[in-house]
Amino acid sequence: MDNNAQLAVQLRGITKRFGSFTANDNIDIDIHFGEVHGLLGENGAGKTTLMNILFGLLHPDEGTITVKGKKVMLKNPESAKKAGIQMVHQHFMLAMPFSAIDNIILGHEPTEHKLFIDRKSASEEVKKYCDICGFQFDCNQKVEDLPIASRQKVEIIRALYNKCDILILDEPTAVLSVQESDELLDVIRRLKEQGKAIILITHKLNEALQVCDEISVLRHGKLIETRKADEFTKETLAMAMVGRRVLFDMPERVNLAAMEPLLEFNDVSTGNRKNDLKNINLELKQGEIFGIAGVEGNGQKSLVETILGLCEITNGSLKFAEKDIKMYTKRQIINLTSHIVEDRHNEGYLNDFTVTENMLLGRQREEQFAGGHTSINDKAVERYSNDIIEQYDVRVSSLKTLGKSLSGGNQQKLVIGREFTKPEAKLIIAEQPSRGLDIASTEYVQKCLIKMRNLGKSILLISADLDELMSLSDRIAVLYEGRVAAIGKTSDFNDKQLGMYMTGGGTDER
Amino acid sequence: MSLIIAVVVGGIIVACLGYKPLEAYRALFKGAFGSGSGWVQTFAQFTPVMFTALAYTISMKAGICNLGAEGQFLAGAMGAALAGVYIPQILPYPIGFVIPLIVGVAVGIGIGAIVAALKYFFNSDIMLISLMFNYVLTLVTNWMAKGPFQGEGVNPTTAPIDPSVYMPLLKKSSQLSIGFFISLAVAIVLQYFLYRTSAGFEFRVVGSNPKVARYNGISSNKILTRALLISGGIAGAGGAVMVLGVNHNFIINLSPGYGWDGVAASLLGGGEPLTTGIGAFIFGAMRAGSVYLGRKTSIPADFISVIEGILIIFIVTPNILKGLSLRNKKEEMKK
Repeated sequence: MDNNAQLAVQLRGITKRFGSFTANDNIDIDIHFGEVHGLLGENGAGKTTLMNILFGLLHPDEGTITVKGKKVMLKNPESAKKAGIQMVHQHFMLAMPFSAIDNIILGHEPTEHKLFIDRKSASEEVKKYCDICGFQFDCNQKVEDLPIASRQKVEIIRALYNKCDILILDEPTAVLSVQESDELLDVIRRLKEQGKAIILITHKLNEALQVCDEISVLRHGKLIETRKADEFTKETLAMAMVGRRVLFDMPERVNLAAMEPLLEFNDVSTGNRKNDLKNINLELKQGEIFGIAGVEGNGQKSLVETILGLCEITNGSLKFAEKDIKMYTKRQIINLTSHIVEDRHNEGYLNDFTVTENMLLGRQREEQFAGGHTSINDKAVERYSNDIIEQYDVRVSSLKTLGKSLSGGNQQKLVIGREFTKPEAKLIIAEQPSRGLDIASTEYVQKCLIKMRNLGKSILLISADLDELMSLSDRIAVLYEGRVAAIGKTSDFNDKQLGMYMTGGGTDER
Repeated sequence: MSLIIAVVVGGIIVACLGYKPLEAYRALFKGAFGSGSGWVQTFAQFTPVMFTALAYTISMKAGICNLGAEGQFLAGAMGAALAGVYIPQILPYPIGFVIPLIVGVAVGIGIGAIVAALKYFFNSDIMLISLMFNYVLTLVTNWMAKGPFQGEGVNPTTAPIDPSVYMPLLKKSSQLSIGFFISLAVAIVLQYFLYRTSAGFEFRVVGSNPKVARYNGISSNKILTRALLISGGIAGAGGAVMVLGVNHNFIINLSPGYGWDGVAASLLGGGEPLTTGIGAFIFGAMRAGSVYLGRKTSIPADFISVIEGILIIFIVTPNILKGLSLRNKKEEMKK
């Protein structure tokens, strides 16, 4: 880091309250040009609030903001833009039916004769920025046809086109695969070399340590510390974020004697599309965590849906607890399976229903709740819901709150609590279980999975987080285009090898 | 709220036609609520609308748009009318109505079953099919009343039903029968079903988010079929109640659009079984008031059609659009 790096932004004494809740408490941060400044903290620590203030979406109750040496009042994103500040949000703000280039020049169309948009010069300028970042995509494609990683690139180019020199990125890798995340980190480095100031909001400790020059940690609205990145280790960073020691190494693996496999895939195929299974041979033993690695769209969905009975098997057979899967009704499978879904809103969570009703989803027919064919046993349901809220730390003010009012992390905890407490479940399918969770919650969930495994349950762990996969799984299989590209004990793999198998390099079985 | 807009716009139209809007509304009010007999008529007009409104409500709760309440109403009415004549009466008055009522409900369920079957085998659009059936059933029942089943005399009605199956009236010489209480009971049962039973919960999940339902072992097909059957049955019950309690036969054009009032009433009320009653009440009051309006003022009774029409436009349009987008979601789900 250059000690004489020019000051881009100075935040002094920034305080923001929402009623009696203080989201930002007297925060002082300096951001320099030519540096990547990480802003880390648990959910609710105040990172997004602080950045929304910097971007002009919120006004601070106290404190001052100085940009490039001048004190500014950021009334709205327009003023922020004039000051050279741009933000790429977690949820993109793009007009889907329009082309990439139209989105990029939106609001600043170069007009040659004041009537027509000079697309030619716009394209040239856009191309200039694409080259700086190393992007290659067709600017004339409609945004809705672009994959998510490309949409994010469009957002970044737009920020550059708007002549920003201070770029805020809010959880940019939340929606990217491992490879795409690495590419993004490269782009960040390039922009840094161009002299821009980059503020990176993230949860992910590894990323922050890899790419940031300085890191500020927020906790409960207060700035805990700001240090150079190389003065942090993963452990000290986590401790600053959470306030106590965080367990990264999982407790001892208890080795159970080999028991009958719970799931047996015998040469299972479901079709010919990329995401279909092809000749899958897999066994899930009881009392083990089996990790499935792979880039999204290579068969994981089909794997899960085949087990749930939602996807037809065209070849081969699947046995669940020694019985062919076809002999089960869908409801029976649901009872036997705890399923932490990947896409809550389309698979496992009801936004327009109450918290209690969400707790009942999938379990509404259980004896304890249904009480025969008459009314739902309210007392039992209430007791059960409160138990889960307590045990799994679901933050919600009342059982009657609507599902959509819960934060993403709390929604996930609700789903996990509901699924893990199913009385008859033998199989746990955990898809991206810690997505959207902060460190403390992630730790809790991972500990839960280990506990379940030690109790003899079988866990199918599908995760894009290789660290999580490798630290929790006993065995791992890599799916590539619906086939098992590699399978074996976790200790036989390292993440480079997994990455290779995930992208199609080599298919051997160990 | 749509009601207020409709009232205001209706008033403007009336004023444009040369009448006094305040006079019109005052007359409506007086007709519906100004006297004992006014109230009786209000509740009497409430009853058929309540049935069709509940039919629409329950189908919407499962996520399908059953627009065929009008036709199912008529089918149920015809079923009860014929049952009241041709089926030997084993039960005495006042419980004699039970058998024809059951027949009416069964016919309604039958129509619902046909719509469901068409959906299942040909993947037809429920909204469209149920809508089309309205025309079919209106014409068929009218034909039956004028043709093969016409009673004595020249009137285009079926034979009068046996007095033992009359539905007991709540007030002598009025149109208010115990059908009124039956409609309330149906609303309560539906509310209970949806919110206090596991089966009702599943119903609502399918209506709210079919994808989530699929992932949680809830069979959309089963539930949609059930919804159609229940919905048809309720609408059929409404028609049966009309015949057994009021007309005592089936006269052509029996329904002045109760099926449509039902849709609007359900939406006006908010789409829940109990709140649907509010919407039905408003429509009942309007119909009751319109008679007085026509008699006491120079404003034609059809004025309420203006208000109803505007109401329907303001309420139904956004909801049909919602229904269409729900349908598209389901189409995408199948891909």
